[in-house]
Amino acid sequence: MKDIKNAIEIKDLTKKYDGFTLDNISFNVPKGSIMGFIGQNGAGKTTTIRLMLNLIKKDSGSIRLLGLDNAENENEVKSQISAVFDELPFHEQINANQLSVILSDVFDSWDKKTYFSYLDRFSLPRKKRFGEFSKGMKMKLQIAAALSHGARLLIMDEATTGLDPVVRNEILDIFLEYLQDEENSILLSSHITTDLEKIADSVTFIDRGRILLSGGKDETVETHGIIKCGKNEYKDIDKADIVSARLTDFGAEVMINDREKAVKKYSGLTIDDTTLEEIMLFYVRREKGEWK
Amino acid sequence: MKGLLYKDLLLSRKYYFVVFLYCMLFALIAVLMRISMICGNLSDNKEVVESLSRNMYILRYTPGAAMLIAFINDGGTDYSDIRSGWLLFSRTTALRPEKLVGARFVFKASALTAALIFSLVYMIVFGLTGGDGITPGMLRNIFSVYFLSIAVSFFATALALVFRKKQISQIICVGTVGVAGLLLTTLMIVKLDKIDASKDFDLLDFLKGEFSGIINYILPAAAALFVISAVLSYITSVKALKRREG
Repeated sequence: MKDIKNAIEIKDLTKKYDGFTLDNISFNVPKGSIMGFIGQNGAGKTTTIRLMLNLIKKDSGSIRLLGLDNAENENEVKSQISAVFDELPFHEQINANQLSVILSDVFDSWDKKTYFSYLDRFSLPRKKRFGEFSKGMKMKLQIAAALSHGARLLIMDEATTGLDPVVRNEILDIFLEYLQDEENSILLSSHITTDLEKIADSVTFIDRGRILLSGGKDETVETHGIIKCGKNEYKDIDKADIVSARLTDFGAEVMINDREKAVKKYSGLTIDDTTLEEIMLFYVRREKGEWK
Repeated sequence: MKGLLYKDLLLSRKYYFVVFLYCMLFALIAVLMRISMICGNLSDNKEVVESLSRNMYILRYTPGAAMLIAFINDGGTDYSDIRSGWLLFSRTTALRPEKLVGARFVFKASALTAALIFSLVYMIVFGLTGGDGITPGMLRNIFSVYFLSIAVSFFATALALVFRKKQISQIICVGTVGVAGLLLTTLMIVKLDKIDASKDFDLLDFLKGEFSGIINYILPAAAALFVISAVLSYITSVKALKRREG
């Protein structure tokens, strides 16, 4: 484990469904980092995660988690990872105390002390049935359980979706704490890009089953920019430099993916900073070229 | 396995308690009726007592058999595991399917064994109140229901795991057709009209009469069928959990 460079290595992964194809995707999540896996609903995030967890069969390609093939070494891999979903996967009739007894049978390295310390920290009641928990409480509970058996990799599928900003921040802080140990890594799938902007080290954009971008978050944000210009100025911009352009009544907002080059090439125009959300928005519409 | 058994107990305890309460109440009423018949104002009329005894024969089995049959379903835990997302969660962990299915089967068999103990205790009490005790034939009958319940219970888990992506109504349809088919076949083979309920009915004795040529094989064949059915249910369940969706 100490020798590996990447916690997740996905290469040429393909999965075909009727009407959707996860098309030859490749990306890595460096060990000790958190990667944001971004895409709109139906882009292929959940399919990728399910393939990683070996819940569905891949058509081709390879998936290595913590240096091991996810299918060949399934048990070894799964004993070191935790998956967190947007819905609580525990029965509504049970409570946190009872869950600890159950999970001690599921995970060999279940740490009851850590689990209860997270419950106290999140102010989660121990004897209240999960059916009476709020969405935020359910998510905190899932995270408490996920972090209480020494997992080295957290795979989160839309874990922060539907939570209020206070709870989201609390959870993001926990993730940062978890990453203090450099052996730990996180893949956080979400379409809420503001969360990822706060904590992600790297980002991977997926759209309609294809990877659009994958790299360091800061680098991605820094290399992109938005030119806000009039209609005549827009006409002068080389189409090869444009990701896509949002047309307005007064002109256009143009997303460019090589800011350094654009600064030199279009010295008369102002290039604004951009965000992950805008990058996603402009990339998703890249095939249209121009949109309103 | 302790934690998984505990989970099943938490999920099904209310159901078991309600079934137990109903069966206990039924048993109590049946015993009181029998005491009333033997010791009440009708006790002097032997003909009436005999006639009532014949009619009450089935009550010797009803509460226990009802509990055994009701315990086949442990409050819908199989479907609850699917609906709650627990099954999906367990597949993201290193929990082996063999252990998961093993725990379900051990739990169901334990619950059915508890129902068997209830049946036996009740049958003894019912017998004692009439002064006629319990015969080997009666024991064989209730044990037949017990083993059949275990086999069906394991099969139900296998069915739920195999069809986990399908609608519950489809599963119920398949299950109902299966059970109906089983009952119909049994009725055709056993020919119930030949059974004299007024006598101490012993399934094995009855089968001896029906299948005199193959009687020596019936018990071993039934035992083998039970084992095969249980093992097949186990293998099917484990395979269903190992199956990766396409």
